[in-house]
Amino acid sequence: MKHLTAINRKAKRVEEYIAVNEEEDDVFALQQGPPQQRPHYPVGCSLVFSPGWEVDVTGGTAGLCQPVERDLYDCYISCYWPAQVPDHLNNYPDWTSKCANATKDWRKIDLVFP
Amino acid sequence: MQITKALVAVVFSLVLFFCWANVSVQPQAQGAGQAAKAGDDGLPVNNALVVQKCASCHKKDDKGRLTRISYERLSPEGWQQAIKRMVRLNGLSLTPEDARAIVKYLGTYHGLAPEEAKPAMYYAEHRLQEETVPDESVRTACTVCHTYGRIISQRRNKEEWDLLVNMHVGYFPVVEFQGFRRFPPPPDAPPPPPGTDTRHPADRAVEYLSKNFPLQTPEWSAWSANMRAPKLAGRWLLSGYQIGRGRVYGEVIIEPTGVEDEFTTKTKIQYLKDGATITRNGRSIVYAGYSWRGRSFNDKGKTADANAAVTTTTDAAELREVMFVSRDWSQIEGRWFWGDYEEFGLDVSLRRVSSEPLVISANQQALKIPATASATESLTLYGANFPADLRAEDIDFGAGVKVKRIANASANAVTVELEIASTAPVGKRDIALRRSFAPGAITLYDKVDYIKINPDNALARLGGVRFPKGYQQFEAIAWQRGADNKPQTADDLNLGPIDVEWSIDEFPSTYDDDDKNYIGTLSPTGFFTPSVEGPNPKRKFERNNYGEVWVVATHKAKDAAPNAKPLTARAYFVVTVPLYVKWDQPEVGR
Amino acid sequence: MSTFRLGEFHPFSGGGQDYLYLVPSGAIFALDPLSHSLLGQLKAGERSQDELITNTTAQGFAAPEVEETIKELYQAHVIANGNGFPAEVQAVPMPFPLQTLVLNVTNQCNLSCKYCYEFGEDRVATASTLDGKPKFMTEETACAAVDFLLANSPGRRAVHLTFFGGETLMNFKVVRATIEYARAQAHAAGKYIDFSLTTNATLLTEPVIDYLAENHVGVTISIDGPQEMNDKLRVFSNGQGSYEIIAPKVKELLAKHRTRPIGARVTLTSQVVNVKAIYRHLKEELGFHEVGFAPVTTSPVRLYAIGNDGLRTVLEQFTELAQEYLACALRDEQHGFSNVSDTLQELHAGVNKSHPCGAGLGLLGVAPSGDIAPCHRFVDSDTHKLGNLATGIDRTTQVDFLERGHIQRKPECHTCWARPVCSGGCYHEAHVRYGDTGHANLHYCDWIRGWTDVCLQIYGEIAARNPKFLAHFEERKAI
Repeated sequence: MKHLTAINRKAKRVEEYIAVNEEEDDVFALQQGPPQQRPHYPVGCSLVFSPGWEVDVTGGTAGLCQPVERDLYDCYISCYWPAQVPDHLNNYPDWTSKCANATKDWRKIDLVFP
Repeated sequence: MQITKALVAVVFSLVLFFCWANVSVQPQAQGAGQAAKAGDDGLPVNNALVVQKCASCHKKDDKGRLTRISYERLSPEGWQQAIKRMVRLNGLSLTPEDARAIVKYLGTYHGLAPEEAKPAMYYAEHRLQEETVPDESVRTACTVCHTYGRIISQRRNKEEWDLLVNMHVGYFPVVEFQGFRRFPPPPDAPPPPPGTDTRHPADRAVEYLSKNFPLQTPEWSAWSANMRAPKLAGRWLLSGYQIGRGRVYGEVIIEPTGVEDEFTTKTKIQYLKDGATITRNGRSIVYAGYSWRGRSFNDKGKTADANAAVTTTTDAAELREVMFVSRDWSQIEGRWFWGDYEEFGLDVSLRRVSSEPLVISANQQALKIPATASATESLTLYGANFPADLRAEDIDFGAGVKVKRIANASANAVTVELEIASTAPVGKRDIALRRSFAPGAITLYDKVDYIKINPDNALARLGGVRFPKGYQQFEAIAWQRGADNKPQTADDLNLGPIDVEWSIDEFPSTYDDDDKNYIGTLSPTGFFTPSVEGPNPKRKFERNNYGEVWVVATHKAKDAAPNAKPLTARAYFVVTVPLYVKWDQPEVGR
Repeated sequence: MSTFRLGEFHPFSGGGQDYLYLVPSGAIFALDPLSHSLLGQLKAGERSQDELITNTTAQGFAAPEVEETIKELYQAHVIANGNGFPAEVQAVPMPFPLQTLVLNVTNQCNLSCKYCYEFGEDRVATASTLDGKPKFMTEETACAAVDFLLANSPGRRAVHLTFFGGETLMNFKVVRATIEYARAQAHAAGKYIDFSLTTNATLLTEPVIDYLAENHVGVTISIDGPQEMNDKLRVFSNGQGSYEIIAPKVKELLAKHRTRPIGARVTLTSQVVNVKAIYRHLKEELGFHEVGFAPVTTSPVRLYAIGNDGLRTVLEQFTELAQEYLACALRDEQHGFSNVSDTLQELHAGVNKSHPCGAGLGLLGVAPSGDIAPCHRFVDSDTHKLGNLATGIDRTTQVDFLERGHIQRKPECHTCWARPVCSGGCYHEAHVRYGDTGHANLHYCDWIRGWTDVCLQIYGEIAARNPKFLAHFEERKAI
């Protein structure tokens, strides 16, 4: 390497690895090969992570509430995801009237059509 | 990576808030005082019903402009949603007929010019699409919750954009810290460098939106002067495509209803791969002279099996049509869709049939070039008005492809026998039938170089108990490397669907990830059915059945060597929780 | 056409040189002006190779050089294209050979420090979990622990035994017997074993000091600084401060015990945060070789918890003291601020941790009863028990503990550049704060990033101005 100087021991190992593998496995040449895919957000997903609604900050579900029903009323009361979960404040003050505990009674929750 | 940057930006701007706090905030003008101050840019409301129903709250000025309403232009869906919100929250009471008439008026005279609507069509069409949000403040303030398509389906003056921000703060106060505003920096933070833009994202977004999506635009001036009721009655040929089922060909008879901008339709389509034929009757409204919203029913009526709609192999009882009519009324393009999450659909393109021959589609998407000598292939072309005296030399596929003879011909279809030379150049070919062209309707190729999954990034939703399931159909597409001889470049050729074996691989996002055991099932035809919603007591922490995986397609060529490596492709696939709110405006097509 | 974007790294500079700390590998590279320019262009977003070459040649660089630099950056994963680089999830080889065993030779103490995790308000071992269990480790148990360490460290030539408490010296008899037994057994097994202990110094006597010195036992003294600071929380049960008792003993120890460096360990609380003053006193007045500081572990409601403001103050003071370390390093002198040397050691090695520390992996704690815990902080807690000397390690519980602590299971960490060194932070701290050893310690993220950045800058400046000093970090320290 000419333009990057390995400073710590790990960097020296990286440098050695590249030198050893240069011939048989030219990673640079491989970039024309099949594209590796990155997970990314499907369109329309909510991207504020705390946790996110459909996806977490990495574009997956691992960081969502477990289960999401645990989070549902927080979202509802605090009006956190009004585009995904009905809001208590203005639009759907009675949404939870049939269901006291979302984790248990989730079968009684309604879909709303604003 | 984008999000990482966004977080960095948040952290950075925390430091900047301190300075902002010293900047005086302009008092927001209220809607009531708007007309008097807004100058001459508002659109007068020339519809008695709209004035009658709206002006009691939205004050009318001496130029016939109503507050709020005269200062924004929206898609039909945008107006529908606004009216529903007025009913829900502001005590408006309307009959369905009046609501329909008001949406029709506003969606037309306070609508978008075709050039403005085109980039946002995917939103009305409910397409899965990658969005690039060009402005960071809009990303932070708007698209953390909404799709960008929703933002760009609107035009407003600056004051209206401000009022839209206020509406959000009023109804959904949490937005303040979700993206509209930055938190203040610690009191001991150094002041930001001079010249730093210390405004909040919402304020910067308003500046961007009022500059790029203003009420008055040259496009709208031109279009509103030129706009007229479209004359679409007649016979149209349809070519279409449905993921998992391939090419569709058919015809649509559009008939007038006696009401301007409204039509009835009779549709007959055939799936070219399996020969399934479908007939439908529909009704539609065309807003603003070009923006088609309709729906159609199959001939079994609405009482057909409710599950029919979800099994893409069957005809949907009701499907919705969102299309865009070309300025010269010769083409209509868009998407017909159904499903609880609008996840099933046909991409359609309609072309008007005149007295001239018209070729529109072929029963195959790609033809293989033989390695040596030449090969004979049979191909059926679809269209209208094919002349009775059609001869082989009237049909042209370009270099290396010779029409040997016409095997079979009618006014709407002709089957030809082709001789393809081994020297024929690889590439997309227009099919010419006398003076009619079907651009790029067939592709000549030498070999399948790789495959890709369509869509390569997808989302399904758990359901089936209380909420509907959101399904996903996958298909594998064969690709050829193109003229540059390099795969994965822009000149590569799409050869159409290819048969593959489907499987699911774990996408390891946690240490002992096991999502693939829970999310649902993928059929041998690439059709994914999600599991039920709700906590799953069998999973750790009662997690829902959600998860993210790779969907994998594997293709083994029949003539491949036994030890040849099969072609594979994969798609990132998230199976997630239901939506509890359905922001959809199906009424615009009723 | 390939387009490139920035990979994952943390840029920093030191001594006028620009560096990158690569994530997740932990490698540190210095940049030349050409690579610096390329990264500057990519900061604005993705660029195609052609665009990069065009823009960079316009600045006077030769095209082949630019191409070569792009290649180097790509190979080192500084920049990425397409999908980036696959995230490798490495499974930990199990069973993992032991390196260190911490023997809690007693859970009794003659002091009543208010913040103690052993006996304070946040202890994991409660009256009920201690009920009926021995308070002092017997010689048999201690010897069994030695056998256990030697048997469960296949492939390791050197192993380490640490004595801990309670107050370790309250059971000095067993400590001494264990050292003698361990030395003989290790010799028979062909292994080298060394020893260390932590004490509050109250029970240091002349014979004890002589023994520790003769036997090369490493000693760490818990002490919180000069008298007025030490005596705020380090007190006897009657509330009397401990400084007056220990100061002369510590001086004697430092004077006599020259075979191993003696370190001081300071617990920072809301009432004791004057880092520089503490360091001056312990290093210059008492004569410790090294001084290490750790903010107290506690739930945020305790009076002595350090709030966010306090942590900021600590970081400022650490930074000031670290500048003294830097000045010494540039003169080729050693400085005793061990928080810096420990971090530099890790940065120099380029660690990339799957787990925050060796607890439950290469290190285990043993209670007086012979129960095995992930580390000394968890001994006598029934919920964290990983087995017993008699029955061995419960592999299922151990694997569960390790899986929960794995960096892959902490999604909050996945976008953080400091994760190669932090990996979510102390299990015990996470347990006290969040009730889950596998939770990322989100309350000190800013602190970790701030401190790592300070150490990277120091590392960078040493690398630029006195690179031979880095040789001090070549030798790998035991966990």
